[in-house]
Amino acid sequence: MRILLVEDDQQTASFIIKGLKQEGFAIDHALDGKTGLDLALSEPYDAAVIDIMLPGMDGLSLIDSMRKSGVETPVIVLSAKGSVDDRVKGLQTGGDDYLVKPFAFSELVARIHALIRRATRAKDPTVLQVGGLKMDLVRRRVFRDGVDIDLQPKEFALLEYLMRNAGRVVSKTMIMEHVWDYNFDPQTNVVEARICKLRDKVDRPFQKDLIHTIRGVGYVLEERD
Amino acid sequence: MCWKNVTNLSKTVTFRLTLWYSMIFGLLTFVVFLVVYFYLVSYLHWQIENELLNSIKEFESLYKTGGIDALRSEFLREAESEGAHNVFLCLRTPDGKVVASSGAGACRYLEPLKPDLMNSDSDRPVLRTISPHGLSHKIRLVAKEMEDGYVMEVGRSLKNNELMMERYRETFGAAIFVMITSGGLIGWFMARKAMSGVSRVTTIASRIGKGDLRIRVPYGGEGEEIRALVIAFNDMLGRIESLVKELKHVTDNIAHELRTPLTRIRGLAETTLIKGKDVSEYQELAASVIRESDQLIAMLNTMLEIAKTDSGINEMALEPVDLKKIIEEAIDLFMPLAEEKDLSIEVSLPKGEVIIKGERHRLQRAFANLLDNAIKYSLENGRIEVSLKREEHGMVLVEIGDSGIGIDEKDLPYIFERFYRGDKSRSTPGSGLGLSLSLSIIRAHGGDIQVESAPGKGTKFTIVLPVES
Repeated sequence: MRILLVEDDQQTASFIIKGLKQEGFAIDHALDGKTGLDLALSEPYDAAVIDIMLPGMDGLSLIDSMRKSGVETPVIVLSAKGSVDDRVKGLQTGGDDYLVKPFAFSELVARIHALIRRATRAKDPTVLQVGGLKMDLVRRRVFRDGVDIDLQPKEFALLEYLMRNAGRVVSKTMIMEHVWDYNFDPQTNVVEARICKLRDKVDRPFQKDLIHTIRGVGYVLEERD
Repeated sequence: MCWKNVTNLSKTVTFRLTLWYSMIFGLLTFVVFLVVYFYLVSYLHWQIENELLNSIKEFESLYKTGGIDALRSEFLREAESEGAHNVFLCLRTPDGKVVASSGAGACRYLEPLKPDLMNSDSDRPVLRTISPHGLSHKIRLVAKEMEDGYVMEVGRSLKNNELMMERYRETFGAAIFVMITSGGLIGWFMARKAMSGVSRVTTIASRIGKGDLRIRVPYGGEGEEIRALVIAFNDMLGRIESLVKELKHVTDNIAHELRTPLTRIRGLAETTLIKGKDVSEYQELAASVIRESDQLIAMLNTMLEIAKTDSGINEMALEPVDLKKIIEEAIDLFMPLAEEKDLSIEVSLPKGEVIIKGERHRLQRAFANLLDNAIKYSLENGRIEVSLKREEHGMVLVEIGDSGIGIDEKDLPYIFERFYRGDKSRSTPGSGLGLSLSLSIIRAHGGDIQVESAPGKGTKFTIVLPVES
């Protein structure tokens, strides 16, 4: 997987590059909009991460030029501005997703994966499976080791989100956004309480835990030895 | 005075009014001068013509009865009494030879009438003005052909008239000058008087501009317009002063709110660095740093959100949203927290959708904050009541009541202020921004929040919002 990063701040760039390389991505980095556009137009990328505030040509015009030249690479817009208007503007210009600085790195990774998946997706799966945990998306039923687990609608949505991102850390804000459509962190432990309830049903009655807490960062659903 | 001051002066209202007054006074005086001048000129003209016509009639009858000799002596007498330079009398033969004149050379100045003029109408005398060589003044002349073909000419010098008009012009020139000057003075005086309030406000405003926001402009009795200006100006000052105060207050609070968690982060890092033994301690530290940073970021984001909401929600972003759904979702979200405290939530919602025009995420946030507060400040086994009602006049009413600790009366007026936290709430986690944000959001949607509370019994927030018409 090859990713284009257009970011003028060296420190931010080096931390993103380092992290994404660890995730197994190949990264090309441009320090300004012009170079970024040249790269985007000449190389095939699976996704691009583009900062809005750039010297020379700003991120939004860069995306605009890309789209006008017919380059459909999915783009995540990075910005220090997080208001609704700014988001709308970023997405209207042709960005596919929007991330506000400062952001959790795990969130960036998850969003890149989601974008690539969306762009290359052949067909939506009807069954999700992690270890002995099985989710039937059509009949909306969940089984673990053959045992039927009864979930409330929101619990089902939460588990679906965790399973779709199995093996990747998802933050509280990502959960809030995808499961409850809240684009802010309510600063309370609502997510913790929900996860706790979910664990009671999905993990407690069984031998091995699937839902793990990454302290200070978020949660991950995976099978561990 | 340097050039800049001169150009500035020319732009002042006082200067312009002065100029206008001068011009108007000058112009009016000039018009009066012209009217009087032309009237005088035509009057004098008429007068002199009358005299000339009368004279020539008398001389004609004298010539008829007394002949050339009587006329000659009458000519001389006339020249003597009127002055040889003022009257010019002459009688010529048809071929132009002088037979009688009022004095030596009197006829020299008069020119013989041209034959075509003579022949046109012999009965009527012909009137002309001539400027003869050798004389400094014009002559008004009347000529008439006698019955025997002789031509009589009677002329009068216009010297006196011209002198009179000259004096008149001189006098009026002086009058115009006086009018322009006095007009300017009156204009300057009136403008100064009218502008005195303005310049007083300006003086004080520039003093305030240098730093002292407490000064107010006193009213000096210059008139209703100035009074309105002074009142508006003082109102604005009051608003600015309170804004600056609030800004300072908020800045102080931000500094304080930042300092506390930053001190905590720094302390944690320092002790781990000095005493940390294994990886798990460093992992612990990293997790704490992330948690604290996230809280700081959330606080800053909330601050920005309040500022942004206060400055007004973009009309374009408003869309029809179902308020009932937002409330239901918020209750669903917070239900596990309520259950942890064994709180019962009683919900009363109307049938069908309650559509208002708003911004979904902001409204979610406003109600989440209020519900969060209700749970946070409730005691175990308490009750929370949430109701949504359609009211008259196109409003909806949302009530969120709890049976919690309540708010002290002394805290009640301040709970919506940024960072304000009552004594009792200090032990509960929170930034002190939630209610401010909720209020900003509701107000940006054209609504309002009211609160009633009894310490020890509970608190009820009442939110009114306009429904989409």
